[in-house]
Amino acid sequence: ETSLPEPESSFTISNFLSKLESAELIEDAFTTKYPEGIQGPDASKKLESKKYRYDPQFLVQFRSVIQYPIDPEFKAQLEKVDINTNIVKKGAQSGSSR
Amino acid sequence: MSDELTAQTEDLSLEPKTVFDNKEEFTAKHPLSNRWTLWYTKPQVNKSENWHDLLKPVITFSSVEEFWGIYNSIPTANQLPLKSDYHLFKEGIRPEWEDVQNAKGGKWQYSFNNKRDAAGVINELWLRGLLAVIGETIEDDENEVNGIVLNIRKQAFRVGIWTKDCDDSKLKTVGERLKRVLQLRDEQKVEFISHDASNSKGSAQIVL
Repeated sequence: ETSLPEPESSFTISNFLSKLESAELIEDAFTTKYPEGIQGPDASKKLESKKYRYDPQFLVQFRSVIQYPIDPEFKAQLEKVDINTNIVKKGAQSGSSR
Repeated sequence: MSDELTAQTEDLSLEPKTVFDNKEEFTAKHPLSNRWTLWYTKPQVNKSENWHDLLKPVITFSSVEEFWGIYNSIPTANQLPLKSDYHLFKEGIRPEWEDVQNAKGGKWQYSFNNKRDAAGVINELWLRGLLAVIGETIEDDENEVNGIVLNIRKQAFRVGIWTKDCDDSKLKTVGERLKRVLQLRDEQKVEFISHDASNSKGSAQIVL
């Protein structure tokens, strides 16, 4: 035992949001390759006037993936506007409801 | 290595990685057509608090990934206290009829008056509303929608879509889509009320 064990899932919601800031923009999601089991956006919903248009079936696939522990910084941001954060449980909103 | 093979290898290394590939080591995100601000109205606890003390912006985002990060980290509709609201509006538009971009508009709305029945479905219906708004499928070329609102009240859950004007021909699509998004039956009517009319307690301008 040379080091302390890493706390599990130390990548928090604030880590996630700040990492997103430097992520590149997917300009054409219709030609993007997604892992098996993930359905790309519905190209029939494409419109000239809307630069990025995503059908709900595409969007809802992110639901169960994007779940991160809430850290004090994010909590403070919610509490500043009086949102009660004690009721938000990680994993309580998993995307299994189909 | 042949030129062709080199090109292929480069292609591979440039392939964007989404959260589906790795939820911590991703390189790309899905941009939204608009930047959106989530607002929250907290319930009034004493009479000295005015609307401006109660209504506050929470966070602004412009990608699918940010939306889900936020959505999955805030209370669901049925966890909110009475007299609170969520508002999701295009950045720069305050969720108030006084805002110049709302002033000439109105709202399509539906009240779920049987809260006991609606409590089990309101989370999913509100989410369907949010997804239709950020994904831009709530309308086609109309470009009418300014935001979407959820009111938690003693007598009802209410969902409204705010529009920037009151042009009947453009509004119909939004009303019909809202009806579908909220999974309403034919006889469950959505109503459009202009902000002008709601100020003067007028009646619905269009019913679908």
